[in-house]
Amino acid sequence: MTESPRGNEPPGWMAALLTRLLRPRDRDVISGDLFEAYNDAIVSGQGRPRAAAHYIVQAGSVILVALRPPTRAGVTLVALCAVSIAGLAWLMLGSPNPAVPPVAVAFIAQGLVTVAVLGRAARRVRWLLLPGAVAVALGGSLALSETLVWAPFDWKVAVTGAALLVQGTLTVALLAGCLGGLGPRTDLP
Amino acid sequence: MPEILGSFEQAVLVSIVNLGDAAYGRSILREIEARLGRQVVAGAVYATLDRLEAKGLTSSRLGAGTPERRGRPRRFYSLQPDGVRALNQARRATERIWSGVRWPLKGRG
Repeated sequence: MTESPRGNEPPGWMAALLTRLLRPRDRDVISGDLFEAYNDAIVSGQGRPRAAAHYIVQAGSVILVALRPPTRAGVTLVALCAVSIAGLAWLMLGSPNPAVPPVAVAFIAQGLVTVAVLGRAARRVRWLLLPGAVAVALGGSLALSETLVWAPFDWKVAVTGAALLVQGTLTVALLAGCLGGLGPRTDLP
Repeated sequence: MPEILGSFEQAVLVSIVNLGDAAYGRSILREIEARLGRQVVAGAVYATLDRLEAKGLTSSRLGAGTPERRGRPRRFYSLQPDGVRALNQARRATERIWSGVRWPLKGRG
């Protein structure tokens, strides 16, 4: 291994992206590996443009893996959370029933934490979602049956109830590891 | 339940075995490229290393930083007993699949 020549730096913008987007555990290790590869390419006479292009491709592939989107089921769950949060907020604003807001606030919080877990911002607390997911599914089925069977039909309650029911069920299924599990795919390559 | 390894996972594990104490990200990537005879993207290698460690087939330790890496450390990988078992099983499975078949195959295609 040769001492890196002074001034031989890989493209700064890509190095900065790597530092910003990788997990702390990988940041220095992978940056170091790619830096070593870049300098070896220059020392072996490949020339800076070629070494830089290779660095950009390799660093880009690492970043793409780090930013891998969640599974299709995960995207569906995010969409369901968005629908149920919007529906609950709408129902809260128009409800004369003082018992509704605390439940709605709890369900909205459940939706927000679910989205945070899917976005990897709160992966460590994912098992805390389980009781909330069961409650959301039950709440959704109750709201749905009430508006379909007992109360006068209200389409806002029906849509929100259906979204909550599917959201809760899908969360439980993903927590159990079905449909690719919660979080980004790890089935590379 | 024994682990079923994909071909890329096997290439990564065999590279770690072959490199011994010198198995870190970049050396593993180069070893895989030499074995597969093609270029490999770093993202695929790091994702596979991550997954194999999460499955308990490998373990890793941080080395010291070196000047040619501007002080950044290397992460060295080694096989765990489960990794050795999985690799042996993969090899046996491949041999069973090919047993009784003359190679290279002759014919159209």
